[in-house]
Amino acid sequence: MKDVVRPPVETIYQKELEALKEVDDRPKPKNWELSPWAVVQFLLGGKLKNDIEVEPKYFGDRRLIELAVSTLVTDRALLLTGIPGTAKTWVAENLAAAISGDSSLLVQGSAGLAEEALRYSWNYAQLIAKGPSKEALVASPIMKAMEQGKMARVEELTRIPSDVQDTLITILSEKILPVPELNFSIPAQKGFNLIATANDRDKGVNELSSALQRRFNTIVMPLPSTLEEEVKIVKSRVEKIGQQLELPAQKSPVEEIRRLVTIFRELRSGRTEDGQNQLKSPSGTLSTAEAISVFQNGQALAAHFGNGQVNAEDIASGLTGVIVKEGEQDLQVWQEYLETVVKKRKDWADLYEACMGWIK
Amino acid sequence: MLKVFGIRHHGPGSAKRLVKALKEYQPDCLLVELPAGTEKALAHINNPELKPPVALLLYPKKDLESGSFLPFAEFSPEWQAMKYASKKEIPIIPMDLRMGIQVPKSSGNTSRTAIRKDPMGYLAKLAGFEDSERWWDATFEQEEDDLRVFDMIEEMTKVLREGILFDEPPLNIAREAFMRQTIRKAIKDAYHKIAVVCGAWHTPALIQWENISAKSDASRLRGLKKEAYEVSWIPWNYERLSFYSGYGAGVVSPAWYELLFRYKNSISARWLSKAGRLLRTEGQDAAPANILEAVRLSETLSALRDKPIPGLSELSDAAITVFCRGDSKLFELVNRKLIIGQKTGKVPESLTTIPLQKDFEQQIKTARLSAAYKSTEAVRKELDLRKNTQLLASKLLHRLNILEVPWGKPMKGSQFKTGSFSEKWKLKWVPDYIIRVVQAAIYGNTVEEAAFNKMKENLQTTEALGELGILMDQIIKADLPGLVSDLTRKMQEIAAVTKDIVTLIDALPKLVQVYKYGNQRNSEVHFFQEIIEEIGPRIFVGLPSTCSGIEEELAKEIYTKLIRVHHALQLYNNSALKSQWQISLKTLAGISSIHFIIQGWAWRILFDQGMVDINLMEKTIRGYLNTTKSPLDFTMWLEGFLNGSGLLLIHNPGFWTLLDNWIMSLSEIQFKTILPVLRRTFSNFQEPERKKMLSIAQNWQPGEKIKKQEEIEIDEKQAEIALQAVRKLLEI
Repeated sequence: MKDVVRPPVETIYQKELEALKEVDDRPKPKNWELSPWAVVQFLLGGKLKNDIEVEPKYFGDRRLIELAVSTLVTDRALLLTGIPGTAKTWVAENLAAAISGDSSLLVQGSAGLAEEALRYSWNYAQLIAKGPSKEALVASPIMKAMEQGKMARVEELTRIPSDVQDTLITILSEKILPVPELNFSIPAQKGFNLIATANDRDKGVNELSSALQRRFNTIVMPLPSTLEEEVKIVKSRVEKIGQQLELPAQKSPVEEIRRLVTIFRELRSGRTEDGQNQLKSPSGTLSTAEAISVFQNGQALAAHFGNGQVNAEDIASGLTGVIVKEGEQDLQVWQEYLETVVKKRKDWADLYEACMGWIK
Repeated sequence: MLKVFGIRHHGPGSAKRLVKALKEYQPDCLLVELPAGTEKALAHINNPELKPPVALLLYPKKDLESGSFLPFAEFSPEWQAMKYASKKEIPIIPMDLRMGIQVPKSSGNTSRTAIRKDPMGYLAKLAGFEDSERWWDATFEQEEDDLRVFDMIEEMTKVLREGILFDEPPLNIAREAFMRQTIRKAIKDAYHKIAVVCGAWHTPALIQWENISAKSDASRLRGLKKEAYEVSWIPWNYERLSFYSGYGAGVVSPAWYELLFRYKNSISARWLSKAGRLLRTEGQDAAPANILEAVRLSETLSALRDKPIPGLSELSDAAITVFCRGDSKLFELVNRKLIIGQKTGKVPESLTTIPLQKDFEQQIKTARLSAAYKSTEAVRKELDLRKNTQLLASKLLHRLNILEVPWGKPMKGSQFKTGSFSEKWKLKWVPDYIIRVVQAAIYGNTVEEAAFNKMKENLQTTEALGELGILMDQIIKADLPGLVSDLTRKMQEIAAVTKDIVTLIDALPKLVQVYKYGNQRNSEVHFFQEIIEEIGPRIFVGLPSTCSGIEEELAKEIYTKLIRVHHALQLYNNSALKSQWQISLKTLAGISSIHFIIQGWAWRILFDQGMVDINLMEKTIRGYLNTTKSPLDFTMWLEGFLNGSGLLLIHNPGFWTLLDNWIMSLSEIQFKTILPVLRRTFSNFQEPERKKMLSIAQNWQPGEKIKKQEEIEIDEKQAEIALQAVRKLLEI
């Protein structure tokens, strides 16, 4: 697997999963590789009894991961929602890997998805040669998960057309997959459940029917809760990507990252970090992922056209572009923020000047 | 001889366990950790009209404001113990130090380690809990039937106090000495089975009463100053009982505790059903099947978190996930009802002697309103605020209105303007109002204090800028200057997020008015300055988009409001703000999508202020004449530009000529369409102005230039009347 760009989670963390199995003495639900406790441990990281260090996969609220794992123990499916860049897919993948040892049973949702992709399709050569038979069935990832008692995943659930989504109702409530052509149905084995992700910003595109909604427990994945946490995430990502792009090494620009993340957090939450002033929020998401990309952009500018050090000038253009998305309204929000917050901050004069330059 | 029962104040598990223990023990006397001197009030505990949540109010006669409250709920162990005692007709003896006893603070340095500051919180952290409340709940309040828990608690505090924390603060040492003395006295009085109910922390100190000599305890209490305290029962409510209301000793979740106290089984199902029902009224999908799912999820969660049964955090998590689609904001809607609850207690009238009521009656006397207070008829009163007693009366009436005691109503037609010194009131006292006064007692012990706290709460719950304007008025008139900072902060918050610039435009003149003419003290002035200087720029930034592409009706509304803003800014007279305003006016004048009436007005102000000279102005008018699509647009522009006065035209022949040429160039149909607007514009002018214009129009030949700065004709007769009046005023 060495040359694979990105091996599956269960391969990357194989050692950790084995170590967890070794120390795990708590009851396991049928067909689970680990106990719920150990699954939580795998996601949040920490040191095990056998001195093996488990790397944290998710930085954030323990509560949410506990809720997610508990949901999968009950017979309701799990729906992770949130704005883009909140690690929904990553968490889903890790959960499947830890619970079933297999994160590959995946259906990628899209507007053009057909029912067959969720249920089953036919091998037409077989179908014509032998007529409808079990051998001619081609199982979908979900059908495979049902047969093997594993976790299935559906990405971007709300991108799937509503009538196709509803195929999931029978699967989730009756835990069977009917095959009317062969006059039988496939029952789900214990250990089967479904982890879906959906994007908050797609709300209203293909909203779940209330019947389907009731089969899911929904967990909203939040943005990083503290400034420090977010700075940490941005910093480590920026450094990693910097290495990949082979940008010239430079001093760790923590202060500049902190300023950038502060602006993102304040505009996102509509409140200054000290909690003193309320602000308007622009229409854009302003996720951590966007902060990373703005900074990276600045880094590239600084490396190729500047003195190598990221400064206010380098991030001002990217910043304005990310914040002002829907014209007039966003521009007004951004301008107000610059005038009432940025201008007043000591040591931020360079940033104020640079940003004002981009507005005019 | 005696048994000590360590409890947690307001702990429902403690309460249940205590009742069970008392039934088993069959005491002949009950000692509770309440201040000595409350015996009389405690004698009413069995009065069926006294319904918890209620509180004992203790206050020194002379200083109402330093009163303190001792609240009880149905699930408070002390309440249950006292109920038991009064049912069995055994004496209830309060054993704590009297209220108001001053104990000198210790001079030595006590260690301020984490464990010293909050020992229970420290243990909770060790056990992996976020706070001591949850830890205690999970550890000691669940096993309500197991009487051995009393011993466990005693042992734990003993280890804590004797092994680690031997430096008790002096107040606690004195209190415990007093408690031991009370125990000794009870024994001396020949009680054989004494039940001692106290907070868990005191148990080790009380159990060893025999090992400590009465003499040494007496010496610990020697020389402490006493002060006479009054005691009264007052109604309380769950809101006040919870931490949210700001009184120190309370519980986070009264409604949850009530549930824990009342029921033994299926607490989760009950709580989640209640949550489901409440959420259904908020339009959420919470069918019985969902409730079942939520119960199951909460149980799995508690197993995962190594807890014996689901606690409040597991139940909330489950409710948010199953009922609210992960949206905790939706859950907030019902959270208060579910966790805090809305119960209010009752106190029979015969038991009330409320400080607030006393202060209220005193205030009536001081403000000389006694006659109106006793009268059954409505009384009219005109108050002259320059006179001290009448000012007091005005303040009292305004404050009572804040407390929802609408004794006085402002009469119609008297607008109570800030800066005016006369107020007309209609006063009618209704006996029911006294109940409202009593109810308001939870807000404070004097009318001023209560109005202050009530208003503070109102400020917190108001989310509309317009309503805040009304509250601002009340604050100024009721003379509660301490709230100005709260008010302006709230305004700042709302102003920052509002998308509706019009409400800001409304607020600014009011603020300037209060800033200039209100009777606030110097210490508050800067709060108003801050908010004015914050709102101003927000208006300036938002105006162009607000005034673009709007209908005539809205444009006119904004136009009249902008005139007020302009005057307010002139009055406020801050050069930075003024110059920003000028920039903003330039923008308004220069953007073509701004409504014409506002464009015209902006030009007028710029011209008046000398920002635009006469040549440019003429050029501009010509420009508008050429570019406006319809004559109507230009007429609107003109209305804004002339701004209610024709003087501009009289004194600037250039403008006159331009307009004249324009009118002459219109077709008949065009002229007819603009006529109503023109008429409205011109009819607003003063009569002499109109006469003057008429005479100019009559004598003026097209092509001829009217003479600049023509002498104004003076009506000598009319002038003489005015002159006489002026002479009289100036006494010449």
